Amino acid sequence: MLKVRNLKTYFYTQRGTVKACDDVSFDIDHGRNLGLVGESGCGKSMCCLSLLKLIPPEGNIVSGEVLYKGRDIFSMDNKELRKIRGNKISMIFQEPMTSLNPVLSVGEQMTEAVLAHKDINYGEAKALSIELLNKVKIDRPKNRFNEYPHNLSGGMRQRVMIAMAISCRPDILIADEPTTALDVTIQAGILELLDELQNEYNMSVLIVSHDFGVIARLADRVAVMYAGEIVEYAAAEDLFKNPLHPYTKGLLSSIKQIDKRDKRLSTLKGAVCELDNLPKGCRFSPRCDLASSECREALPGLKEISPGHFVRCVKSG
Amino acid sequence: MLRYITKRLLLIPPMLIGISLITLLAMHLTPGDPASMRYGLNPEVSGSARAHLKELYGLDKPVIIQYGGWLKRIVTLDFGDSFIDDRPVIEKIKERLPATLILQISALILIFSLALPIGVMSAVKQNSFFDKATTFLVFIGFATPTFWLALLLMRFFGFQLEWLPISGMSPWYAQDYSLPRRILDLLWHLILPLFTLAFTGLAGISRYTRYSMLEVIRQDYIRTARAKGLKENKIIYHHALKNALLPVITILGLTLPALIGGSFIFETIFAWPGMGRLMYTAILQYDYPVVMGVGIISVFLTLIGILISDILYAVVDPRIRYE
Ligand SMILES: Nc1ncnc2c1ncn2[C@@H]1O[C@H](COP(=O)(O)OP(=O)(O)OP(=O)(O)O)[C@@H](O)[C@H]1O
Ligand code: SF4
Ligand SMILES: [Mg+2]
Repeated sequence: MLKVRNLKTYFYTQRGTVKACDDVSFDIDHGRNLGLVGESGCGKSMCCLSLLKLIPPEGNIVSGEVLYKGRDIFSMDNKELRKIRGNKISMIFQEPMTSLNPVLSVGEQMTEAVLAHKDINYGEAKALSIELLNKVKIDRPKNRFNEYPHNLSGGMRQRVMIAMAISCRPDILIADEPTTALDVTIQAGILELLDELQNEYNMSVLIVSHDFGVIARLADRVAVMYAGEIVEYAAAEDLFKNPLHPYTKGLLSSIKQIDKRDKRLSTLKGAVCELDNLPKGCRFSPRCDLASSECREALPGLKEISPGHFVRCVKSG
Repeated sequence: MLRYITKRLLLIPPMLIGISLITLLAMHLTPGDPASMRYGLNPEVSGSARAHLKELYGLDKPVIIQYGGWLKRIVTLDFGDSFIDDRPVIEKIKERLPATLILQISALILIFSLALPIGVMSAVKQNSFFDKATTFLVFIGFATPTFWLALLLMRFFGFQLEWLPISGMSPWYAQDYSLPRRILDLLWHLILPLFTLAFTGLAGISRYTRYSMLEVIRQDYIRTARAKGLKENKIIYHHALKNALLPVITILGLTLPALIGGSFIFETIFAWPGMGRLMYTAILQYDYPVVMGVGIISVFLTLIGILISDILYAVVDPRIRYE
C-alpha cells in the first residue's frame, strides 16, 4: 500500500552533508505493521517525517519516491498532500509534551482534525472526538474535551495524539517512538492501545523505536537502520530467529543479556557514527568485529539472502 | 478567569498610592516652589505675604500631611485649582485628555494592524525579498527621530504642497461645523501626526512579532497541525499566531504608559492640545495641582492599560487563565 523507494533526505550544514536517510526503501502492506529500529540519531524520525513531507525547512528530500496506492506523495501539490495528511496517513510523535498546541483546547485540536477532512458538522465532530477520547481510555472524556494540554500528563497527551491521529480512520499510522518519552509503566498501556486500535481499524502501523522490545510487540516486518541506511530488512520472526547483519546481532544480543541480568550490557562497541562524517565503505565497519579490508573498500548493497530477507553486508550470503 | 481579573484589580489601588507618593516627593526635591515662582521676582510682595500664600496652599505643612489631604480629594477627582489660572485642574485635564487618547489609541491600532501582518509574513517567508524590504523600512522608521520626520512632513505636505494642515487639532471655526464635518476635520488633522507616530513606532511590534513567530513555527505542535492536514493559513494565523502573540502582548503592556502620557516634544511640534503639553507647561511653572492631577490620571490610565494587557494575556493563554 505504501512503497518507499530510494528515499534520500539530507541536511546541508556548515560541517558537511548530513545524510539522515540514505537510499531508504521499504514497503508497508495493508493491515500489516512495519517496525523501524535503530540507535538514536540514525535517522528514523527524519525518515518518517519525509514520508509526509514534514521535515524541518533546512532539510532536503533529495530524491526518492513515496508511493501511496500507486501515487507519488512527493509529486503531489499542497492540496492533494493535505488530503493525505491526517486523513489517509497520520502520525504521532516522539514528544507528547510538546506535540499539542498549548493555547488550544483538546476539543478544538481534535475536532479541527476531523473537520479538515470529513463532511460533518461541529456537533458530530464533537461527539466523535468524545467517543475517541473514550476509546483511547481517557477518563471523563466530556470534561477532557474542554481542557487544555497543560492539564494532561504525558501519557494522556500521547493518548490524545493517538485519538486525533485515528479520527479519520487512516490506512497508515506512523508512530515515531510513541513511548520513548514516557514512564515505563505507561509505555505498556500505550503499546497495548496501539495494538488494539490496529486490529479494530485494520490499519497499518509504522512503529519506530530504538527498543527491540517495542518492535517485537507490534511489528510484522522489521527494518533495521544504521547511520541513515537500512542494513537489514526481514519478516519479524525471521529477523529475531535468524539475524544476519552484525549490527542486528549486536542489538539483539544486548537485549538478551539484559534479560539474563548479565552485567555486560552491550556487545556493541563505540558510538553511533556521525552522519556528516561517514567512514569509507561499510558504515558499520568501525564498530564491526568481522570487518576486514574488503568492508572498507566498497559500500555494500542491500542483498536478498533468502526470500524477503535483505541484508547489507559483504560477509552475508 | 474572574478570580484572575479580581486579583489584578485589587493590585491597582496600592500601586496608585505608591506612584502618587513618589510623584509628590519628586516635586519637593526639585528646587523652587510655587510661592516664589509666582511672586519671587516681585519686590512688592513681602515675606509675610509669601508665608500667607504658603499657608493657603498648605505648603507650610509637612509633605506627608499635604499628601494625606490631597489623597482625600483625589478620590472625588478634586485635584484643586491650577496655580496659574485658578481653573479647576480636572477641567483642564478634561480638555486635554481626548486629544491625547484619540491620537495615541489610533496610532496604537494603526501600528498593530500593520505590524502584526508584517511580522507574521516576514517570519513565514524568512529572508525573502518581502522580509528584507520590510526589515529595511521598519528600521529606517526606528532610526528616524520623530521630531525630524515631523518637521520634514510638515514642510513638505504643509508648506510646499499645502495639502495637509501643519499643526493643531481643530481650528477655531470648526466649532460651527456639523458633526460629520468636524469628524472629517479631525481626521484631516490626524494624518500627519498619526503617520509620524506609526512610522517611527512600527519597528518594535513588527520585529517582536517576527521574532516570536520564527520561534513558534519551529515548534512540535506546528508540525502536528501540519500532519493533520490543516490549511497553511489556519496553521499560521491560528495555531502559530496565537502563541506568538503572548510576548507581543507583554510589549503592548510596556508601551502603554508612554502612549497615554503623550509626548511633550511630539505634541509641541504638532501643536496637539494633549496631556503631554499640559504636563510640560505645568512642570515649568511649578503648577503642583496640575502636575499631580495629570500624573495621577496618567498613572491610572496606565494601570488600566496594563490590566487590559493582562486580561488579553489570559484570554490567549489558558495556562494563565486557570493558574
Ligand atoms: N535540523 C537539522 N539540521 C541538521 N541535522 C539534523 C537536523 N535534524 C536532524 N538532523 C540530523 O539527522 C540525523 C537523524 O535524526 P533523527 O531525528 O531522524 O534521528 P532518530 O533516529 O529519530 O533519533 P532519536 O532516536 O534520537 O529520535 C541526526 O544525526 C541529526 O543530527
Ligand atoms: S560489511 Fe563488513 S563491516 Fe560491514 S557489517 Fe558486514 S562484516 Fe561488518
Ligand atoms: Mg526520532
